[in-house]
Amino acid sequence: MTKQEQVKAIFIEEAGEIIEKLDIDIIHFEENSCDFNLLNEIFRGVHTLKGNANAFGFTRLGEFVHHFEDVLDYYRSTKESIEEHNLELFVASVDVIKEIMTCELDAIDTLPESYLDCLEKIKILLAIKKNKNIPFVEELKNVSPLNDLASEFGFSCDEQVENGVEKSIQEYQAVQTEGFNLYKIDLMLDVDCYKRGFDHLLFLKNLGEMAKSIESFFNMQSIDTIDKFKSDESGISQVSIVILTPLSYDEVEEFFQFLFDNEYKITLIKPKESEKNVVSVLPVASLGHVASAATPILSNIPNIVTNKAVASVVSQKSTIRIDTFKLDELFDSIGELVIAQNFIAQNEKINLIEDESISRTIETLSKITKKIQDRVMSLRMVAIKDTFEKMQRVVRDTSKKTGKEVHLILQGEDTEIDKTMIDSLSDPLIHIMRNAIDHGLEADADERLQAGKNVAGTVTLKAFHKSGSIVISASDDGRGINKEKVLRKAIEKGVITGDENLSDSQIFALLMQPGFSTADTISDLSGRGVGLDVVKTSIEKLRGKIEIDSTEGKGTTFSIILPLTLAIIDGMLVRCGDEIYIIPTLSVVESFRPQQEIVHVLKEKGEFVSLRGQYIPVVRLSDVFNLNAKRIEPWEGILVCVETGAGRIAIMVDELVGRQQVVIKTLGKALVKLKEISGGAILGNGDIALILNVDELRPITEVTHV
Amino acid sequence: MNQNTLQTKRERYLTFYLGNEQYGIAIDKIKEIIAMMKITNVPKIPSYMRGVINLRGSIIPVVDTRLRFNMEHREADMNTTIIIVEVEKVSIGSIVDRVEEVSSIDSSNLSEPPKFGNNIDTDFISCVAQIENQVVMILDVLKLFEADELLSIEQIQQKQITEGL
Repeated sequence: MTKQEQVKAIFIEEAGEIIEKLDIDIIHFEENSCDFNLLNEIFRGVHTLKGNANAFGFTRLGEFVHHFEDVLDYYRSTKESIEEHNLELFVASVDVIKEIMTCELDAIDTLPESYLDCLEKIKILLAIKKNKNIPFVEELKNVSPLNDLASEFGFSCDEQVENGVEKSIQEYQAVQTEGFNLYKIDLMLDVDCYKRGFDHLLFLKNLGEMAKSIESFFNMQSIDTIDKFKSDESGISQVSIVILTPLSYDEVEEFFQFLFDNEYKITLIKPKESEKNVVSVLPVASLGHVASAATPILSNIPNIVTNKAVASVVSQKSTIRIDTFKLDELFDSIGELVIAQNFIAQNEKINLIEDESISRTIETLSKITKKIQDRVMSLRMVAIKDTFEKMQRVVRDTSKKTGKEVHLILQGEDTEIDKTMIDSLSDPLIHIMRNAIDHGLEADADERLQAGKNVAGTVTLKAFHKSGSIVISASDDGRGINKEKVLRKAIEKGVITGDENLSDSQIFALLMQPGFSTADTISDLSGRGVGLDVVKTSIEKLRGKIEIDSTEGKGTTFSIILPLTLAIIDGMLVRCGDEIYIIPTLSVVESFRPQQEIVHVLKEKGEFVSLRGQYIPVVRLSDVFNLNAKRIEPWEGILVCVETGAGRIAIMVDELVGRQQVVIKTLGKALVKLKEISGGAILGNGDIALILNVDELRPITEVTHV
Repeated sequence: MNQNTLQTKRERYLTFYLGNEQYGIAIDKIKEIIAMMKITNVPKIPSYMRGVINLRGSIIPVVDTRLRFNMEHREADMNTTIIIVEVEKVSIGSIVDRVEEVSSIDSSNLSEPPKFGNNIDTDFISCVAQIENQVVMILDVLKLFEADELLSIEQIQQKQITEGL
């Protein structure tokens, strides 16, 4: 990958993130259109996107974003309340941005249909707004002390600029107080700087917001005559700015992100220097031929005194991108550290040294190690919140399209899921949510009212842990699934013969067969029968499964059950023979040593233990795994009662060893087919313990009676 | 073999012993060599797979190369070594009796492996080299530890059964 491609890849990733964030922000904003902080946030995103897009030659994206930004900027600066239909336009615009982005990435020449339409609307809106607000614009102009720029062309001499800059530096130095820095900034802009998102006025305005005082000197000489003037090229290439601000050098430099390094020069002017020194700081050579006719345009932007709050109001998430591979490596190293630490803590020779300082140091070491381990483990885990928030958008759109009023309830947004899984969860979830609204909810309000429900439908999206898995469920309170209809359809399509005796969940599972749809009318949203089977396969790729549960008239619940590939689990350590196994604590109901009286052997059915009136099959781990362990009776060992997909089972082990948080590691491709084992974990002493997949453990009845 | 026209190229191989036979693996396939360590048994796997080891935080399956080649099992001694081989980014440990040396073998000294009829063992041997008076069998680790090797073995057996019929 060349440097250019690398940068481009970063841009694409970044743009994707910005757009994703825009998507969420715009929905929030739609709900609360008075939140101008949010509008600012959106504006910033759009602005960055514009700069990046133009820098990489994505002109169509740049063009659109540019106009969108203007509109946003208008509202942002006027704080005018936004009309509903315009909000709608904003949401549509974000959609268009998404679409253009895909077009740009795939180098598709045709523009999305909505592009021109939306752009036109934005332009019209802007024109209307601008006209209505001519007084405002004029007001802005009045700020500048010199209205008539042409008159300034009269005096043109180098000293004028130099003197101007120098004079203002001296003036500022005189008033400079503790905590403020004085900078002299020289810009030497390329003609294409607008395309990279730079805008003189906006730039100075932003800079001015952070400054106590700012003064700028524009070199107007290089401006072409009106017939050669190009609106998309910068005629003013040389600008000198003197600014008094509390910002540090780096902070000031952040304002220049749209410019190339050679286009700007920031010089920190030291306070209270003698005049001579100041002059030497000024790069006279560059200034000399640069500025010949300069005009102070903005001077002393009235008292926007450095309000730190301006910068800190918006709490931006600061993030770093890290290759997951590096994280894995870090994981392994920390694992080793823990083992080494345990070795020291448990070393007999060291323990013999009865010295308080040594034992205290070892204690501290173990605390720190534990802390680091916890932190590192949490790095890969991401809250499902962002994905859930995306669903708000989906629900909103679907609700608009279908004309059904829908409330979305989110629960367990903080549930953490491995990052790699989150990425592939979004599409299946979108599909399920659309399904829930389009099919699940009743078609019209009357039907709902008759059923004694609220007119507005409710869709609940939940994430939680259950028996060692993560469950994401989407429930609607709609009409539920008509079993007869599903069966009829399935027979019609030849999926089943109709002779089978199917359980409810088996019937519902038919819905996820390829090419199966019970919708009477095929809608734009769902019902084409290419949906749920795709959802099913993509969830199966994550080694998860989908379960459907439905009560007719009450609603339907889709549950996505995902394994915790890399999640940290709380495990119960058990010993069987010479081996240590781990049972996920989440699935453990209880563990006990049974009395002989409650253990029953049923012929050809194996062993059962009767527990509070329930007969639970006993699974001998040593039999399942063919371990060469001494055969013991259940009342000599320990039964660990666990909840599985197929009901409770009692796993028989030799003894309980302890409880520990462990990281699941895969056993590698060659061993992945072992269904009974979901992975391995490294224990404190460096040994490996295998983690049981309790859902796949079945009592071996054949073995017992053979 | 037109050995005269062949450009001679020297490749480096790690050589090791299984019983009295000397084998070699191309050095670029080898990640590291470690002493025998505790192996955790994994149930329900082919007998030549001995289990898994903890290699500094990663769990790596270990193959008993002797059993893989249908040789007799031998108790580990102080010379027993695990060679960590990396095939297609997957690390696999393989237990050998004794590691000998890293030797440079001139490509002109390599020759096709002899055919032993239907014996599948020869599949793993990419070529045979002559070092002084010793014959070294150079292993094709890709074939030896194919990522889905459990599956491919089943296929081979199936094929043999069907062919046998």
